[in-house]
Amino acid sequence: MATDTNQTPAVLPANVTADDFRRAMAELATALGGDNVLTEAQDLAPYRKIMISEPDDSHAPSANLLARTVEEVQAVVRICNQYRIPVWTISTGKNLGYGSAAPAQRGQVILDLKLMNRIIEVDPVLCTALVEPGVTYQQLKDYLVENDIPLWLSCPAPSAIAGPVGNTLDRGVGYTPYGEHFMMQCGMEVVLADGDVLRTGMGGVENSNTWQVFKWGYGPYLDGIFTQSNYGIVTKMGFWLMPQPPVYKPFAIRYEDDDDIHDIVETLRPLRIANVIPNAMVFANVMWEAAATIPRSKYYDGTGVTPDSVLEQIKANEGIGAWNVYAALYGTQEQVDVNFAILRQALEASGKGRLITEEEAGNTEPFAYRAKLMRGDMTLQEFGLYRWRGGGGSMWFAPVSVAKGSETITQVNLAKEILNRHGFDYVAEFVVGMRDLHHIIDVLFNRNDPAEMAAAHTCFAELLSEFGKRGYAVYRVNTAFMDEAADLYGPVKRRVDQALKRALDPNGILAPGKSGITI
Amino acid sequence: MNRKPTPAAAVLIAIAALAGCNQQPAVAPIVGTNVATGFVSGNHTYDTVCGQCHETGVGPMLRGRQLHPQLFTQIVRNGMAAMPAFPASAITDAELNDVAQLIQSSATPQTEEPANGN
Repeated sequence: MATDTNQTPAVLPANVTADDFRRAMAELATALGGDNVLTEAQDLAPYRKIMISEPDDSHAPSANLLARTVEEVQAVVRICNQYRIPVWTISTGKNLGYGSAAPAQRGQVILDLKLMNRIIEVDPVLCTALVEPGVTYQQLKDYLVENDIPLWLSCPAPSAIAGPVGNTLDRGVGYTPYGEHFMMQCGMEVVLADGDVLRTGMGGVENSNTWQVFKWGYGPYLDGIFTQSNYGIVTKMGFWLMPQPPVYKPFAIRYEDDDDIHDIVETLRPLRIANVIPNAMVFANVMWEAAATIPRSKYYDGTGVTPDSVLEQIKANEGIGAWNVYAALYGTQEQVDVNFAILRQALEASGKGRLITEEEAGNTEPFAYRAKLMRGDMTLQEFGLYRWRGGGGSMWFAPVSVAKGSETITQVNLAKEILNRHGFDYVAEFVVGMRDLHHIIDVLFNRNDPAEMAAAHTCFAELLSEFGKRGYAVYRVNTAFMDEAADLYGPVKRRVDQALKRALDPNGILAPGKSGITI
Repeated sequence: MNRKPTPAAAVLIAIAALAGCNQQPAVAPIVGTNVATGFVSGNHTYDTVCGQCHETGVGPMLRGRQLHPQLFTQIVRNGMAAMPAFPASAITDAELNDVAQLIQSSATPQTEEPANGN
């Protein structure tokens, strides 16, 4: 339903009068079309749905704008600059557990780019893609299948409904050899706050055909400043796709004891660094494994922390390890055979871990969905985590760790102690990067229970501060804790972030507060 | 007649496959207008989005429950607990109605339902 520009706004952006807001909406309606400027409660409702530990009202948008072209995005920044309207841009709006589609601050206007969803080019020879922000992984997968292009995607767990631009710009990860998504990104088009359109890398060179093949261009490399930031609105993004290998061999390794995480890291890190195991493998704990496939109520009807005795029962009955490794090999049969032999030797030398092949696992979960993720296929099986406790509360606590066994033990023990003290389960996995581990913990809670939501908020704040005291900081955080996360990176970093903001967006209209950055 | 390739030929075939496809498939870049919400059909949306949770035991089974389209639409637009919300930019009212009608008229699945959702 189009906006009625004469009505009294139910929600206003900070420091914007009702009259200015109405005038801005009227001008935006002229620029975008009345049907693309939405202020009715029913139209805004989908953008208010959050999973974090703050009330919906704290993140209520005042309006939603739908843009379909770069020119329309330019019109939005021109008008919003004039009236100092803050704009929170989303692509597919499925940053679940990090704030979803809702703005960081109450009253910010959402700029929804879901309808900018052209797959502009897929080059099957160079294995590159150039897409708009609204393209979902499912849409791109369908395109590759329909056109018989043997290239694979790399997706995060909510693959089907999320998209490569939003995930990459928030520096999300996937599970294939291309799992570090920003590393595989190549070339952006960005609408700046003054309306200029910047093409990064080789994109500014007239008649260039190298935009999607050479990341660095000339001079300062700029793409990074448009990730996890609020310096511009990305309207196109290039990235690399993985050639489908002739042989794909996913496997799991099951470990029985909590402390085995130490030996897992020490055994597998050398194989990752040497590229024997080329993908972003994961080490998932018992509750992550269980939550993805069964509700907690199957074994435990109580409240608070799941007792250890119950976890032992789950391990025994469901065939789940204390830690469960998922990784894969890719290449020719000869390459896969050689690397599998090296893996076997490493496991035998360590004296731990039970190797499970795809032939042994069959089509059972969670192996089946893990095998899909490691080849970039669509699955939402991991949404089962949200059912573990129920109530729709989820916040990802994701500290970075060095890939050393001793560090994982320290982080696991610290996280468990804090979570359990506040009544929450330690539901976690490690995603293995090139030299680091992303320690991904899902703080699950019931948003329908005010006391539990408050406890989750306190717990998350304590996780951030206690990990921070020990030199551990998160790689990404939800919209309720962006300032606290930014503080962990120090005052100089914050000043530089702010200096860039003041230079590129002097009125501070683009996503104020994103990553703790304001003017 | 089934003939195994020689080891050398097998390596060449594997390398060709590994390299993607060097025969330059005739796939023209798409440079036209956007594709609206990307909606293909109610069945496609159910299979590729709804079914990813509601046919896998993550969420409750929807088929065979005669869910009223109005209730279905309300939940999709607002979300519910773990279920994400989907705005009109993801699926228009008309497209959503297609899915709602499909679900309302669906038969109860004959196979045993996967694990309980909530």
